[in-house]
Amino acid sequence: MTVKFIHTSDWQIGKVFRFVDDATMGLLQEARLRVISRLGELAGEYGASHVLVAGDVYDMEALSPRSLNQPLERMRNFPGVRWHLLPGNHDPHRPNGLWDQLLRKELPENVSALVAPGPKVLEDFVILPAPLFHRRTLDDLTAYMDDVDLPEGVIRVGLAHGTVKGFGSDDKDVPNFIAPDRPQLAGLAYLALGDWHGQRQINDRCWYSGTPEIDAFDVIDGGQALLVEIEGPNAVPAVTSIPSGQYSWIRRSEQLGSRADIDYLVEKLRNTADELDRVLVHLGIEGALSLEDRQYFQEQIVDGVSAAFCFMRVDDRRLFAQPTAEDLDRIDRGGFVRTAAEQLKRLADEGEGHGGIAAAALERLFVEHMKLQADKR
Amino acid sequence: MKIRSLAVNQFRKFTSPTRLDGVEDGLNVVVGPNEMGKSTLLDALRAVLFEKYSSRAQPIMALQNDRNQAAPVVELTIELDDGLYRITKRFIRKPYARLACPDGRNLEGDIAEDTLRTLLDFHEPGKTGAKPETLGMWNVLWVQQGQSFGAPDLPDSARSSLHSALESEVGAVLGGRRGRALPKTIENQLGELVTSTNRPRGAYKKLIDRIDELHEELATLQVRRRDLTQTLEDLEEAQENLRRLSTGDQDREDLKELNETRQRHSQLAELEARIEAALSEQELRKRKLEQAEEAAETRKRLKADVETEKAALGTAGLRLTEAGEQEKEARSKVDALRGDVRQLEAAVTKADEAVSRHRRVLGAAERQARLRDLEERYEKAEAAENLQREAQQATAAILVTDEAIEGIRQAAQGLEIIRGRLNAAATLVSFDMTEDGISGIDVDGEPLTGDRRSVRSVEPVTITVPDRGRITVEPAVKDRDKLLRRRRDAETALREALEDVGAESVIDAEDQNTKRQRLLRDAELARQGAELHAPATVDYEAGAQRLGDYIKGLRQVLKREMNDLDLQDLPAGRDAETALIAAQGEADKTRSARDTARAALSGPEGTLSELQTEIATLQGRYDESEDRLKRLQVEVAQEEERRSDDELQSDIEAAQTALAEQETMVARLEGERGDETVPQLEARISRLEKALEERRNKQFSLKESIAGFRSRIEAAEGAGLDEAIEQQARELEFAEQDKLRQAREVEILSQ
Repeated sequence: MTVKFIHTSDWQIGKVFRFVDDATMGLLQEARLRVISRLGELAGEYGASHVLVAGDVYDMEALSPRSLNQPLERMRNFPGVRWHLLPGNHDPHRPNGLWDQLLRKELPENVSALVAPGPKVLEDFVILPAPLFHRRTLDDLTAYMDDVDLPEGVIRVGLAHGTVKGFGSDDKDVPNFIAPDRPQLAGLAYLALGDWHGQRQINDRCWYSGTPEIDAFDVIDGGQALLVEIEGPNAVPAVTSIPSGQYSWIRRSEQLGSRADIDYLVEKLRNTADELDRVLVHLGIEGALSLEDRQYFQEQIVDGVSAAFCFMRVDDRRLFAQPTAEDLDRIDRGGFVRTAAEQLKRLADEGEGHGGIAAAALERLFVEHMKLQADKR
Repeated sequence: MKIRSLAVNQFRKFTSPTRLDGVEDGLNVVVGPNEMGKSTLLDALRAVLFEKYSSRAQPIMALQNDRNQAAPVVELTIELDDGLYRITKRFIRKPYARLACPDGRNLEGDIAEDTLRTLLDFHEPGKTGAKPETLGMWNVLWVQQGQSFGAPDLPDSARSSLHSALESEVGAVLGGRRGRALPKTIENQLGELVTSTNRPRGAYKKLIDRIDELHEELATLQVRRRDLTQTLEDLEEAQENLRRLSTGDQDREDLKELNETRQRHSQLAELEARIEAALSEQELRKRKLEQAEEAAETRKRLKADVETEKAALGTAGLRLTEAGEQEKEARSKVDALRGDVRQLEAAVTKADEAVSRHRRVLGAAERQARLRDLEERYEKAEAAENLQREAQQATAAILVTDEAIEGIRQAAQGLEIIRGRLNAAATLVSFDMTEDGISGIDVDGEPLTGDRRSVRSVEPVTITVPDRGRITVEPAVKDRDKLLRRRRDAETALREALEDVGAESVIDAEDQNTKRQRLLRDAELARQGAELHAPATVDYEAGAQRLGDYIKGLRQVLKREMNDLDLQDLPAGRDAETALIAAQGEADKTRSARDTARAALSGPEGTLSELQTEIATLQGRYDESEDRLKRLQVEVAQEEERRSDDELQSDIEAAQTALAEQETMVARLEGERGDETVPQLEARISRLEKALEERRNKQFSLKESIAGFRSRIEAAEGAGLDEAIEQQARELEFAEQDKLRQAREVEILSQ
């Protein structure tokens, strides 16, 4: 008999997206809830009767009742699926904390909160959860799994939240550290991990599912869940990545030097994906443009193509306006306006202190002047 | 730039020094025939200004004179804004460049040329010499021979300079149009963001305010979040405490100790009770011994008291006898003194009587003197009253009162008036005749005399002339009859008035009146005299009669006094007074002697009184002492009969033995005590009980706290604080970014 379940984590319900506008934030938050339904549907599709959530169901501890209940209500809609939730570092199980709050109000029947270490015996396998009780723990909470006695032949599945790898010389000093060889040490058929938002295989029996809906630009291989199929206690589990997210988060860096570059970039951006409104773009621009082209960039990219995306963030801090003689002539050939323009250009060229401001002011002068010209015509 | 002079030497055809001077402001025209060197001068001008002195370029070499190949020298004086500059250049051989500046500097070589370039704004010429490009603006202004202004070939730099120059000159027109619109737009945009004093306004200001608000709100939320965290921690701690308390380990331990302690306590308490009982028995025995000793002591004291009392009684008896003798002596002395005093007091009484008699004699003498005086005055007053009576009687006899005389005077006056008027109206008949002539003539029967030679009459007058008959003169007077009647009436009135008072004439009446007045005065004087002599006093009223009555009374009084005094004659007032004074002196002397005797008596009397009091006291004491002694002797007899002295002594010895036994027993019991005392054990019991009780209370209060924390947490949970904080932080971040953008916008627009 094959044990089949879906491994997911880091739903981060209630997450606030600071850099996007209110409307986009609404969309992104809604997407995080919708993906729960999606996971329920996927469980049905793949015939998995359990969903293991490896921590960080919630993004923070003190949430409004609505935010707390929203995911529960989604899960309740899938009575055929049993959801197992693990407290993570964002929503640790503290005395009288949110998990106690949820347990006090009673969870839906098909939802269980694994708030204490110890075997959770199911019909065909046993979950060994390692819930977090603090944001940071220096002990490896999965260590207890080694000593759990269970009858021979029972499939043991570990569920934990933390990091298997540190960045210092000794990994064990990392908070919420989990030994990557825990499956071997504790005889686990599979160790379902959460915390990393990108999907990652650590070894045959140890996986990070990643977040089912991407929530940042730097997440690699996010927006997926894992379908885990286990033939027996000693069998290597078959792990399949299944896409679940709706939104793509793209980071682009481009060099611009001319009008042609801008046109090319517009083209490239429009061909990024089929559904551009499901894409969030972080666009880093480098280069130097004449005032006229800078204006063109603004029209085409910042005001133009960005409207096609769900959200586009343009980082043009490294895009410099380089006023040409023509630019200046277009402003004026002489007179004090030209004098002012040249003074700004000189300040901008010196680049110290107010250089940036001066460059921006020059651009502004150009734009305002063009507007006046247009009005005159 | 204005050219002021130009000088050349060895310059092309000018092989000798040649100078162009006197160049003035305005248009200067150099006139001369062909080939005179006008163009050469222009070339010299161009060379000295724009060519490098060190240059070996072909155009420079061409400046030499074809034949002598000497080094060409050009000197130019120009005037700029700051004064005159002199430029001197020598080309090709031993070349130099010099520039004399108006500020006194003399520059040489490249520095001189660099300075010149800066002054006139042209570029350094290349290796092939000065070109239109290097000349810049000067090329535009420089019209070469054979060229015109028609289509100037303007290099870029010249075009730019021209543009700038024109723009700056006519900027009011060209730049003004753009200049007005552009800054205005920018100012408007800036004005929407900041005020004229560069303070944020409008949406920018609102944004800044909003940021402040958000900061505050966020801070509030964070405080609440911290509160929540704290409450969670408190709750956890409380729950942990409760859990620890609820296990009851400590309670069990404490209870065990409590029971043991209580047991030990009851044992110790029993021992203590026994010790207590033994001690009280010991105390009892001690008291018995004391009582026995006390009884023996009391007996001894009683006997001593009897002896003391006996001695006291003896002393009191002696003292009493002594005092009796002293009293007797004092009494006889006092009696003698009292006899003296009595004699003196009798003398005083006698002297006082003498004084009294002398005083009365003096009084009688004085009264007699007064009586004499009053009698004199009585006689005078009586005489005056008689005079007054006589005068009053005389006055009453005269009828001419003041009223009557006034009536008479008026009647007389009225008659006089009417007579005057008749007389005025009368006819005067005068007889102007000799004495002889008139003799015999009578008028109305009365003969005329020498003195009477005229007749005045209102009635008919009959003049009888002897021998001749009678002449009747009948005066014609108006109202004659009326006047005559009035005279008659007046005469009647006067006559009647006189008759009424019995006066013969007016004069008589006047006399009588005068007499009456005098009498009235006399009577008044007499009355005043009487009054003077017999005035009203407190003893009698005014008047001689009254005074007489008074005198009579006085006489009787005096008589009685003399009878009382048994005197026939009274001494003179002065003698009586002298006698009185002497008697008074005698009386005073006697009194003073008496007072001295009395004073002498008071000392011995006091002594006597004191002695008597002392005797009474001593007697009392003696009696008391006697009683007491009797009582004590009875008491001693009774006590001895009850319990003899020997018996008392044996009682003491028995009590001493019993006490010693009890003390031994107490010492033994106290030896059974351990290290612990009852208070210590009780304190431990109390502490343990309290600890148990406190834990129970603590549990209760912890449960209460937990309930409180829970409800606070539940209240906070509803608020979704983390979420709210995140949202708020996000909004704040947005606002901050907006603010930065706005601030940058302000900076940009301000540029």
